[in-house]
Amino acid sequence: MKLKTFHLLLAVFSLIILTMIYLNNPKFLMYQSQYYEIINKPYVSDSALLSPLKSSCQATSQYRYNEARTGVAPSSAKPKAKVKVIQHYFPFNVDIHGASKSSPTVDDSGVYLGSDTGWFWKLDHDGQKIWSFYVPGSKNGIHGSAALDDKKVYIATYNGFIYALDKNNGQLVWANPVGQYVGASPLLADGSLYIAAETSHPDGLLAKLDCNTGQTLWVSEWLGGHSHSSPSYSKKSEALLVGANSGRFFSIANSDGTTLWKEQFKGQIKGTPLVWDGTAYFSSWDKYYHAYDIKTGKERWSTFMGGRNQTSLTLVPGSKVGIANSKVGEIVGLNLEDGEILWRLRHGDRNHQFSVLVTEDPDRAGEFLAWSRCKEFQLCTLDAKTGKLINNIDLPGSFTSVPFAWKNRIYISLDRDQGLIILE
Amino acid sequence: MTYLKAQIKTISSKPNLIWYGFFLSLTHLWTFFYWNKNNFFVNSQSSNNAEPICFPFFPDCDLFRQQLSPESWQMVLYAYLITTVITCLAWFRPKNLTVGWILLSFLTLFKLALHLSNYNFMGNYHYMVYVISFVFLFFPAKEVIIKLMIVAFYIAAGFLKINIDWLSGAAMITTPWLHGAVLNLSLIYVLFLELIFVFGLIHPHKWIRRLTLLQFTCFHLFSWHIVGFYYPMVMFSLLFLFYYDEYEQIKNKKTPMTPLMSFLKGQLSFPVYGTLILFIIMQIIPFAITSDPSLSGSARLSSLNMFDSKTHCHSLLVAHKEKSSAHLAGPTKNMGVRLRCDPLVFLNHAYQLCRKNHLNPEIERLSLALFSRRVTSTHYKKVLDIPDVCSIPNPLWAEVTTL
Repeated sequence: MKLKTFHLLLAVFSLIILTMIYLNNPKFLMYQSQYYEIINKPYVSDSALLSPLKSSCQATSQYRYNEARTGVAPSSAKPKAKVKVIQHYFPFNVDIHGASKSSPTVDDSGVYLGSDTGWFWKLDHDGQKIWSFYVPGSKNGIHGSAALDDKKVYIATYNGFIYALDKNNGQLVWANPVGQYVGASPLLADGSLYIAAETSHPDGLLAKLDCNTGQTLWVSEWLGGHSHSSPSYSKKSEALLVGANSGRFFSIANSDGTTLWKEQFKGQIKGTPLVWDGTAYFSSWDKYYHAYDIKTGKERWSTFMGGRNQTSLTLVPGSKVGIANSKVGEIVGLNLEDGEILWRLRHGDRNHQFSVLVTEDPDRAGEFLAWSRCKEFQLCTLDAKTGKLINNIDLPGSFTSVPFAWKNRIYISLDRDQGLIILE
Repeated sequence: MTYLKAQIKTISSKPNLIWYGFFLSLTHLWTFFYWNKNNFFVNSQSSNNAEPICFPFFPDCDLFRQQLSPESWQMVLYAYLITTVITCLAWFRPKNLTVGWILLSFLTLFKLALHLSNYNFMGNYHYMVYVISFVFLFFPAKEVIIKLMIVAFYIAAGFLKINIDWLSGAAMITTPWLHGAVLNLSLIYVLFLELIFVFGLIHPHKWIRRLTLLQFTCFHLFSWHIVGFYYPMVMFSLLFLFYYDEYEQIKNKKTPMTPLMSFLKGQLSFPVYGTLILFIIMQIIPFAITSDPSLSGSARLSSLNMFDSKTHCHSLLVAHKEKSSAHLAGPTKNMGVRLRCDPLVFLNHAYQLCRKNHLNPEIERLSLALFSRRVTSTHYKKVLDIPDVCSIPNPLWAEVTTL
């Protein structure tokens, strides 16, 4: 080969290199200045399938009971208005973080709850431990609540993983590192599993997973901030509703994860939306409760709550009343149609983290009870439609989780080292 | 023995090779400074300060390391320094270069032994020095092979850089002086330097050679503030043969050996082509056994281990018990950027637990999965998925054997 031929070959090789450079970075992206454009969509992770276990993927219980996150216990759960503490289980939260604690999830197989120490337990209905699971790698442990189907329990934790465990023995079925942190609760809906996860900059995503393999089916666009908000599902619109700390609220298509509409608000959105009658209801740190038409993304109403809010609105079945807590120290009944405040119960507790539970009243047919923290160490029971106080009971500790009703019992995970209490 | 004597004779007959022996010995001095900086060597060798990470072919290296106290390891390092200084001086005794040759051989093997006792010492800069040292000490046609191998190093490194990580600047360990479009253009220029202009190092035209050498010199000087002193000093030492030959031509009008044309015409000896082919095969192996070598550990032991991408990862190490299971924390000790997502680090961690868990019959099995991605990628790939780590005799090879 002559030198000239070699130079010619080098020239051709140079063109190939130039082409490869172009193909690898066609937009001449710079890492420092255009980070977002290099990673223009959230991460998708493979899952690790450790011991396959096929289940129905239909929720037997989950955070706020159902995919619409109504906060209304099924009719099989009818605790009496005047309950008392019957069990006080071992301490588990240690108040590593100030956010609201993981709420218990209960079905006929047992009680499932996590703690901010990273431990997750299955207990029997009387509070005796059946098995435990530990997650490391996070100083915040478990914030979210579990979702249950017929065979598996799904739990997402602050180390960024979502896990599926065998309800029977606690063995890990699969795990998927969906994000860098997860504070939200998983959602079981339409035969799939959904989770809002947090990532480092850029931030926030909603993922849909196959509940039997843990494989990611799609991820949404970046939510723009941590998503402490647990997603809700509108069956009618086939849309997922979720908020983020960026102040954005998203409606996301169940089919492929594309954004159907999104709205920017002036405050963070941490609460879980309530889906009812084609409308998404959610709170914001902008001090308002908002109602948006799920299909069109148009605002229906906004009601000023007096202080920033991250609770979820709880539906009162058979009425148009939704119940919310506010930072100004009151429980409020809102008209879901126009946002008008129907009643207020002032209790003076300015914590704005806990949402209300609604159950059927076993003593008054067709009537409902609302359960809420009233003061730091107090659980009160109200008439859900009128807001009239029926009962209050002193607790051994404060709580920021949501009480969970099962049969004639209420389960509450207390803050700090106060453990789980069972009321009947 | 005759063959080895012939190697010493070859070196003795050429001043450029004698000087090269000195500069190869000097690389050990740079290594001493590098390992001694911030007590890196002693901290890495001391089990109290470091994650016990081993090469797969020496899985219990930490047990070996524990035989010596940190003070003793410091003494070993000083012994290495003393041997290095003596070796360097030995090259200035032209009448008896056998001593220099033996000492450099010993030093190379001694460093290799230290190196293989700890995976924390892995790095491109060592790999290249080993290759060139072995060629220098034991191979025929030394000058030709060394020059071609150095060109091959740059080309291999250049190929590893054709990706968004390098082109965007995401792979930079620290923020360089240059930024924005200037940085991006510079990164493209480096690709051309390593893949195209590099042939200028062995070009018959003297100005092309000198211009190329000047560019590589500037490149390594510039890289100093990003990668530290060690890499550039090693490269300057390895490039010394080129510097010396240009110096000889300027001073004594002696035409240097430029193997480009004879290489292209197939006129070089079998060992030259054989060495190059072997090197190419070793660079291809990781691509043959893993989809993304930058996320791998043992899969790329045979190749240049360029820092081609920053990575993020999540590990899933689970201790399975009858009525409880636990997702265990991964390696907790501070890991360098290169190592923090290396599967070998996690396999070593699991292997340590397997050894300890022989005492804990409650644990039924230990499973390990590792999910990794390049920082510029949106896909966390499952690079490890081992249901029962402890049932594998040497799990450090698991990344390769479980493929």
